[in-house]
Amino acid sequence: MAVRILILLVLLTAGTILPDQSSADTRLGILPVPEAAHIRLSDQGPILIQEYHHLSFGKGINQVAFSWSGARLDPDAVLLTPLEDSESIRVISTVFPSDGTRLIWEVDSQQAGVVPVIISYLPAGLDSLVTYSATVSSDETDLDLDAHLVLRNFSGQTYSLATVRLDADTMFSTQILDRETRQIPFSVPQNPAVKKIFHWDGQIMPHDPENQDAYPGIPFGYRLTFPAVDSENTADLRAGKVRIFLKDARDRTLFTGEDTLPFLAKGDTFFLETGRSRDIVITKRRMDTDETRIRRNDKGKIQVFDQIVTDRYILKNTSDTPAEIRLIDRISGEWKPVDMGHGYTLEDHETLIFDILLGAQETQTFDLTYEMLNLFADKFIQFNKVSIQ
Amino acid sequence: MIQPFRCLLFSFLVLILMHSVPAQARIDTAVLTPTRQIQAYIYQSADLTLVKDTRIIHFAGGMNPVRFSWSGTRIDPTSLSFDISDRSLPLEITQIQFPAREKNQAVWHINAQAPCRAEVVIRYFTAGFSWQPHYTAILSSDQTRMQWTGRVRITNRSGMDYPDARVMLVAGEIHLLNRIADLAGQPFPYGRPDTESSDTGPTGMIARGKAMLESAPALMLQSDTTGSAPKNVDKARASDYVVYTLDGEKTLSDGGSDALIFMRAPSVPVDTLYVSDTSRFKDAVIRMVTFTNDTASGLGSFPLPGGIVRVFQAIDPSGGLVFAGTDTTKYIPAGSRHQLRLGPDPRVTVTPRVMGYAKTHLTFDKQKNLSGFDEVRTMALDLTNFSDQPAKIDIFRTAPDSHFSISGISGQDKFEKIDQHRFKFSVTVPPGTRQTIHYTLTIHQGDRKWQSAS
Repeated sequence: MAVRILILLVLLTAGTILPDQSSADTRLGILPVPEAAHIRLSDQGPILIQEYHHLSFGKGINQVAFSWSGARLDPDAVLLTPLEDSESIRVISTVFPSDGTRLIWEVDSQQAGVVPVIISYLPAGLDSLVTYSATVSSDETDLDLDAHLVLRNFSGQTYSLATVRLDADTMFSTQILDRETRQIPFSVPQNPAVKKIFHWDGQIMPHDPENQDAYPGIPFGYRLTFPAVDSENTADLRAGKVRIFLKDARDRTLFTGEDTLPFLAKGDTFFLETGRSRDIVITKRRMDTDETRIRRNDKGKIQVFDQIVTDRYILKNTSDTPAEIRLIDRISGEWKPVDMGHGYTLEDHETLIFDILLGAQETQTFDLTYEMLNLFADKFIQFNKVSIQ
Repeated sequence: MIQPFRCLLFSFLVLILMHSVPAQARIDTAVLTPTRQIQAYIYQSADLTLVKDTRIIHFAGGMNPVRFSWSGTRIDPTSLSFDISDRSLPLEITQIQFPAREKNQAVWHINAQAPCRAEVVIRYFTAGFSWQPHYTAILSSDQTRMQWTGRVRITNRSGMDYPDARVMLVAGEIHLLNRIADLAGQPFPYGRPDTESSDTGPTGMIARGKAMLESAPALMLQSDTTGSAPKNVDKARASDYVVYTLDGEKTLSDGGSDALIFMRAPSVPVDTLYVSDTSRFKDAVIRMVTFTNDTASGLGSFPLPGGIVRVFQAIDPSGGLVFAGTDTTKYIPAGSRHQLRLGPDPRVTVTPRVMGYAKTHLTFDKQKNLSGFDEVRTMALDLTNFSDQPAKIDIFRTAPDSHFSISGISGQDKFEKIDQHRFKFSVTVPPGTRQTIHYTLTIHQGDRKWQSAS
């Protein structure tokens, strides 16, 4: 199917009534060739095409027809913007003929002449992705990030020479045919602060991994912090898939995994998961549960009680390198610490975060003893857990 | 069976691709560049192989389109990468083009400020390779040592032959967002924006991946070099991965598989342990062979990748063997103790008996209704060992809840409370003898749970 977007400049005299679009008509006009086309990408929204034309207007009302076939456009998002002399060149109306594949602007020109204009529209089927390739140094303290913009054109329209604008500072020229994909490198901030972290979350990880037939290992990856605002070479990072490679001690490059980077504002931090380690084994055991302060009704039925709980964490590092472990666990409801065998920070009322440095081939064990308070035994048991109001 | 046409073409286009010709028409002239070296990093945890294809290209001054195309194989086009080994050369990769209406093809646009000759490395992921360790353990007749041999079977179902490749086997779990086979089967390299919910959505991709796997050539065992001279395998750690590098070069033929010896330890000290755990094995007593993966055992300082272990036992000095069992090991970290589960051994038994039963500490509420009591069981664990070796037995028991106590323990070598529900007795029973462990288990029921706590 022929695919085209055409701009037809039809010169009419002032005051001429627009022809009835539903009836047959013949027209003669000039087909201006765009002098430039810009493909403008945004973080979230669709791609905007801006075509730069010089149109010859006669004095009075001029009709500019914009038509498309084989392509999908939002007709309400097609704009004609004169670049000069906005007082004497005004778009006074837009007509949408019933066939749905064209529109006609009526442009009132105070004088005859050639005027630069921009035609803007939002084509469907044209979009962009960002992919990253991260190469981590053999000591896992540095990371090089390469970024590629993937431009996918299934809009039905060919852009034979377009300037692609990723942001205010990043632009390049390319051509892209219909049904074509192009991948173009672009520069992104470098030298993020990198810290390798093992991530154990008690809510999702098995508590007795050594007795599991299929133990998936503990997720690990790199906590990245890119330079903050006002430092050099800093910019937001667009969301995209990151493939992570590692240079080993022999300068070989291994693939170690992939993750999705969300939109990352400059100065922000993100944990990039790359794989799972089976050299770190974390076991959690409930060692004791004692009920205390049991309160009963007149019939002797238990209404409210407290519970003293002891949980044991056994962390084993079988590798020959130290490991920084972020251990996350939760104590739901009303509680207070009794004897916490390791320092922690509270992310919220129930989420405890332990940052633990585990030496090479070291095993650490600590117990957490805490008291669950005012547990309801009969009524209102839903209030034993905290819900977000 | 008619084999589909499979090839990789790597061409340096002398003429610019004639993109001004619309639709499918294209005329070009290309200089095909031969491969200098192939490296294949085959992953165990995912259907993924990283291939590095090194070639030499002569670049003319100006823009050089370099085309890479493939057919009949499973290359993930989103993984394609083009690296110039010598970064000081006046070459710049401006973009990759996945041409319209051309499937399985990529064109790199490389701008050369001056004519030059460059070594380039094409890197991509492909699906269809796998490697799987297989271990053989031969226990000595006294069950104190074992001969441990590790073989690795490499299978190529990628659709391509890779002649004279350097082969690296990578052990370790990698985090993947998409299956490589799915990405390789997409009609467009990165999908297309307006149909992602249909033909390139996850459901469609999985369906296509499955169809592709099902249509793949059946596994064909071309050769098993078990008895031949083993290739040396070099091991190295990289982060939380272990890379096994096969010595020399190896041809990875499509549809074939090879088994190579990658480790041997002639005399690994082992213990035989019998385990009774009703929560895992019901009434059976399972025979385990335990060993430590360390240098002192002769196994080295690296983790052992998980695989199938077939265990035999020597019965006479002339090489007579009996099959003792098979197990599938998970990853065995360096320095850790591992148990091979060989299955039940009827010569060692553990029989629990309730020798006495009483209800004590009956409690009543204010209406004189029964509200709680203690169940007191006097337990005997009868252990028998009809084998001709001492039997070390671990007996695990799990209480119904955490409100229990144990007293009066006798007959065991060691008692350990594992957590609030589980406890363990350890004992060694001499050959041809019986032994009994006695203990009293008190379980608090009803209100007694609360009274004993308060």
